[in-house]
Amino acid sequence: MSEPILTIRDLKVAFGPEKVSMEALRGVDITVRRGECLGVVGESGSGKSLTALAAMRLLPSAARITGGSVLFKDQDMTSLSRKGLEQLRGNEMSMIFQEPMTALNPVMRVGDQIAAPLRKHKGLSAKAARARTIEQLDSVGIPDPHRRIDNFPHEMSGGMRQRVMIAMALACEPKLLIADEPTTALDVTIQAQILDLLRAKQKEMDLAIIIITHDFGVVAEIADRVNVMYGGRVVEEAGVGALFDHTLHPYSIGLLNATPTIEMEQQRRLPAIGGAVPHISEMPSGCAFHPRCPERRPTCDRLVPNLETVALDQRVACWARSTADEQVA
Amino acid sequence: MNKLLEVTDLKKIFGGSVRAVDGVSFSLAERETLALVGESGCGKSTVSRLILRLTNPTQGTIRFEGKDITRISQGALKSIRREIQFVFQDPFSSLDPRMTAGEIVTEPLSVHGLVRNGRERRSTAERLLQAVGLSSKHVDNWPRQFSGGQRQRLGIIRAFALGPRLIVADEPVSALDVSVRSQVINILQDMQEDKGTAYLFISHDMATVRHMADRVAVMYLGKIVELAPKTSFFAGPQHPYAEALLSAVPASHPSKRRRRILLAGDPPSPISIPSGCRFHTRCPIAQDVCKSSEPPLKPVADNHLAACHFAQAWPIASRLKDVDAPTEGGRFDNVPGDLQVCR
Amino acid sequence: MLDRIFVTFSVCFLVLLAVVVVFGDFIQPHDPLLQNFAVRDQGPSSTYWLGTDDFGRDVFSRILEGSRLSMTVGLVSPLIAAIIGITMGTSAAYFGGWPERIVTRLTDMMMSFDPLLLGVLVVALLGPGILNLSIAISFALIPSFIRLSRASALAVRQEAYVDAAIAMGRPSYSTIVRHVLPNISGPLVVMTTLWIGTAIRLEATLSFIGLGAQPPAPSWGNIVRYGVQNIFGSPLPALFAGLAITLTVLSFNILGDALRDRLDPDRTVR
Repeated sequence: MSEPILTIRDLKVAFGPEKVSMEALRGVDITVRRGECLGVVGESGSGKSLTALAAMRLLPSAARITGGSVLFKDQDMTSLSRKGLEQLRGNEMSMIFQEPMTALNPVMRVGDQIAAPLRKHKGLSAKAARARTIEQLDSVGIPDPHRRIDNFPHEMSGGMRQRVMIAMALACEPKLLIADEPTTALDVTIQAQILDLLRAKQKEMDLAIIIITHDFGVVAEIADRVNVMYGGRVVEEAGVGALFDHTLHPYSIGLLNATPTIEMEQQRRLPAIGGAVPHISEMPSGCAFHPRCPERRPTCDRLVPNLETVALDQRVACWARSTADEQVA
Repeated sequence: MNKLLEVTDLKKIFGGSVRAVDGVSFSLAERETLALVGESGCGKSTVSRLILRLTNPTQGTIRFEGKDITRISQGALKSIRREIQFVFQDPFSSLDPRMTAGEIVTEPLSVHGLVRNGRERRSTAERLLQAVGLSSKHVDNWPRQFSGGQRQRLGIIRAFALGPRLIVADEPVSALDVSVRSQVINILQDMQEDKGTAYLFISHDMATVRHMADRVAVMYLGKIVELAPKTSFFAGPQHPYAEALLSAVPASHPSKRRRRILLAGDPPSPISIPSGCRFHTRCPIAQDVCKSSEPPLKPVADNHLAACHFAQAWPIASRLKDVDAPTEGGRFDNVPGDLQVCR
Repeated sequence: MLDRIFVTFSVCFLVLLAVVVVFGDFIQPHDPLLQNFAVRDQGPSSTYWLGTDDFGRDVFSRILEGSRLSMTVGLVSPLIAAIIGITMGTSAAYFGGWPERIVTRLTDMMMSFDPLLLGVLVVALLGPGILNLSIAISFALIPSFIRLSRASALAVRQEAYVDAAIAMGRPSYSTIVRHVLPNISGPLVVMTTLWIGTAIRLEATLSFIGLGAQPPAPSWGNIVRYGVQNIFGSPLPALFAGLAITLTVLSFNILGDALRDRLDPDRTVR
């Protein structure tokens, strides 16, 4: 197994002023290794996007990190200066977003937007940066890059814009790419193109990717390992095969069952998870999933379960799966 | 089977040149679910708006229970509207933020003068809320106090309040969280079983379509390119676009990561629809004939229609030479007619 | 915190003003029209709280009486403007087509005139007087109501709940009343409040140049007008009437700002 490139330990993020703050991330543990693709799955409000933003130190101003650490290689992102962060972002780690139209500057030619990090981090001349940008556009599969380099974002389709975002993010050959729902806004045929592109780049550049998604299909397509998040915590962590074949956490099981699949034969009812995702202002005590959990135990509403290793490369945070519950109860 | 809805050669041209819907014909039987699938911009939502008469067609006819409703006035339409209801995609913008839950679900009843007073309205509202698993004490709550899934339930029960024969559902679950989506799909199916309503179900999600639909119609650039019963469709789509659409659906299991047919580029704009077969610019099996003559939607098997010169009873993947391009990352700058099949 | 004090003061002042307008007859210590040359240009005293003017009339009573005219014009003209403007604006936005184009062009044309100039123009055409003054001010305010209500209604028209209402068979006027108007009411209420202040100011200005209320009936504008002519006799009438105008306009503006903060949908969720 290769060495970790990003290690998030017990990360806590809260919103609002000190006294009335609401905890959105309540101790997140995530590790990404060099060259692997990690899927982070969760529904809205699970904290998956916030984790990504915290890892990049791009949190909205209302949110702040209240505990834990984010280690990129051996530097702690949480204590890095603004200058240190600027050295890393766009250079050694970069990020792409769900809606490329809002992430790209609408009044700047795409070529200039891709060239900007090249000039800043690699110190290339305008001419060299332009040549590199054309190569970069070509490598993400943009046809006719010599012409496209001078396009504005609105002159491109959604899929093309997402390719530009990827070209920009990968321009300086980073070691880590965080992709926040990169295909959610795209049509299925375009989504397939983008996932293929990401997979190819991962192999080609030995790139670590964190792909944040609500869609198990995306995970099944591209991820090597998966973290399932719920209520601001990771509730299950497993290799992608283990997660689908040997699902442990009741929430993961529920989500997988609730997802209709294309292979599914006629089946009258979908197994549904009752209730709704809790809002961060009313997070249940103990295990956040306990009010919706079919395997609820007496311990669950009192104590927060920790991630426990239950198999090689599989960890789960659930009292019903714990070996220690007898002692605690 | 009785035809509940019959659409013939429906066209909608926006601004003189945007052919959003370009000659669509289909029919819908009672109690049937027809799924209209396709990617954004294919015109499926415009079809739903045309059937709801939210916009007027440029050409063609819409018949409901045999009656031509294409051009009748809004006043004459009012009684038809009781029979055709709708569920919209966005559970946030489809409910008036200044109305309470009770007012929202009973709005169709009061518009048609079917509730006499506030008391009756309130008790009806409470009954309706309970029918979709919401507590009757929420009757005075505002939409913003509900979650996305709960709001979509309000939208669904509002659609059923008048006991319509047909519900046009435009992407009713695609804005919802996964765990909530299945609840709403179940409600849609239970209600249909209960009331015998027909659905025109508009979606881009093949998995949901497979679960919900009886028949599937695939749209591309304003036209239906394939129309088939569900089992026959999923067993073997006949149009190359339909097959590409199916093969692009993400795997349901990591072991099923599979060869997929990658389409070249993006769909052309509905302003300049390609000549001949409108799919030929992206089609992996296009021939010269496809550039010049437009294939009609014709039967290729029992009740299975496809608009392709080469529609046959075998899958397209086997008609293609495999192109090994794993490192190229799904580039799409290849010449049309050439094809890559990627792992 | 300071904001809240201002808002509280404004509201108290406006309530007081309302009482004065409604129950003026019982509050006025003297007849505002009664001339008494024995007591011309007096300073404040226990009989004449704010002194007298050059006809010996009680300034306090005249300001109280003047509030009625000023407030009537100040309230009625924006309300008339709001009713006409909102009807035209929302209908234009809702139905679109050529009526919308005509309304938009008309608005653009009217907006190119200064409201004061437009007021002068209308009064010049119709002749001075309180009724014509109200018409003039309404006329001047209509375009901004059309513009705001049209812009807001265009945004609401795109919402799916309006389509929903149409698809369930609700007639157009009912859809406008039930769905469009409630959802654009926030900014319109704020604007109406702010325009009340402007209308009072306009009334004062037009009366000051002699186009408004005609003497001897007092309005704040003409009290200032004649007070300024006699400023060396006694500065008090102009001073206090001016103060009344300032406080009233200020109060409506503060109230309008407070309402905007309260009704702005982005700021209600906290």
